Amino acid sequence: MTRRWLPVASAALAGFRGLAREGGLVGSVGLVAAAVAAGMALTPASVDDGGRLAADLGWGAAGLLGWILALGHGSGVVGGGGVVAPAVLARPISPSALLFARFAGHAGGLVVHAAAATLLVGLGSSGSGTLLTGWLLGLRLLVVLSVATALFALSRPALAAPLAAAVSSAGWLSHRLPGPEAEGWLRPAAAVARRILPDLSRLDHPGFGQGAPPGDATLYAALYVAGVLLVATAAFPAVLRRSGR
Amino acid sequence: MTPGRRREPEILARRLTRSFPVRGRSGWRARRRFAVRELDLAVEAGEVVALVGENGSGKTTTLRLLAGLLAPDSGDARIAGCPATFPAARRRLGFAAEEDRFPGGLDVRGVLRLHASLAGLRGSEAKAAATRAAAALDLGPWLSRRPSRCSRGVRRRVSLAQAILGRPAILVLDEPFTGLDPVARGRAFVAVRRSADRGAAVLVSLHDERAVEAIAERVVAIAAGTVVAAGPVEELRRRPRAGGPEDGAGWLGDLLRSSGPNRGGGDPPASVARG
Repeated sequence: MTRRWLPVASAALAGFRGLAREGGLVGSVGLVAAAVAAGMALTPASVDDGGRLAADLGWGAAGLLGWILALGHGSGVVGGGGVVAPAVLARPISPSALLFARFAGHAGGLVVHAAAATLLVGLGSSGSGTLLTGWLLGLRLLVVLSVATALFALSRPALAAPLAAAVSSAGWLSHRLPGPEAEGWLRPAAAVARRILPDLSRLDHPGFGQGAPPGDATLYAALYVAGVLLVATAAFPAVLRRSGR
Repeated sequence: MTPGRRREPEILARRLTRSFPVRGRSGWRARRRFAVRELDLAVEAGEVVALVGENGSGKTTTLRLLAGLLAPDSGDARIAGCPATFPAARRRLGFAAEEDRFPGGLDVRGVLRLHASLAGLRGSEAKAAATRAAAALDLGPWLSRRPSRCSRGVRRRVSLAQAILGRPAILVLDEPFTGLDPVARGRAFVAVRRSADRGAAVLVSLHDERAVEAIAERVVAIAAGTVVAAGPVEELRRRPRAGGPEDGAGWLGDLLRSSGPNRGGGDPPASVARG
């Protein structure tokens, strides 16, 4: 069993290194630190007294930079296919396993990003709920990464990146889609869109808007990522051998 | 092996055909262009076969089909007796792609170790295989550098090193000597030739007749995705010249010029599978 998973683990480690070394993981963490520091510096001049400004700036920067990392690497715009290179694909590892390894490696990088942001915001502010906010940020980034990875598997990076950006942006609005009360064609269209689009607002802090309880949010993210990866890994070998990219 | 029954060649293409959609002016996929058509080819263990042809003649598509990276429209691409897409085939294969694409974030040593691991080697075995492959291509000074920061020639050598790593029984190499300086070329020739001497079946696409003469026993020339000439290197080299322009293209250039699909002089494809 271990022997079987070792190549996948090696490929995942290569994916992680790709994001960490060439994908600006250090740069993104540095920018989050700068945002938190800027918030702390501005706090005396603001009405805020609990480091809220530092937290808001920190989470804002972490969310945006993490989103860029997830989209850039997942869709293959940054680092190309990464471990999914022709010479690697000619090895006795299935394309599906390689795609999964690529996702796992990138996911590791994003978890490090979210963990570092949580630590930095925790140090720079005295607000509560930092751990939960960091956890939910990690979940959101993994969902966005899964969408970008799936679109990378099904199309080309130049198309996958804008599509993944559009899908993940629409994901913030998916809770506004019409429900069963809608009439005509809108009803089935909304039902399909609700199944495809990630409901990112559900992964927001429960204190805000549509945020769900942490357990529900985690379960939703896990199921969504698993479903998207299942489709992507199932379709990838056929897409690859047809297109020969 | 049953007496009297011939073992299947290590690399075998039978009536291999592959087309790609071509977009029309409107942007729609109007028709299909055949990159490889009814191609027959065989490479035995211990043999180096040079696949030659003009740019766009279908060499890379042929090699990608044989490496299991592309599915054929029809026909068979077989490696070590099984379809090229099967893991059993790829366990015995070393492949160098035309383009030097490496996983980002890894240095040359990391790339070679990753390939060793993917080839099924473990621990000290993987380390030793990576070291041997690096030494064969004289990659020592670049081991700690990322391939993206190396010259084109060094990247080519890394591609070749990862292909020969673990001493695979079958090598499929797409223009492995492009961009190499004379010293590195010599080393690369030796590395490929040694693989064949150890019993590997090697199919290598080449443009340079000196490389063909240095490492190959046979030549398979293709044009428009079809085999148009094939035979032992010596035989094709001594063929009477077609009387083309004295442009320095050499005997290989003459061969390609005279044996294009619509230029006459091409051998019938069925006769070329084995030289």
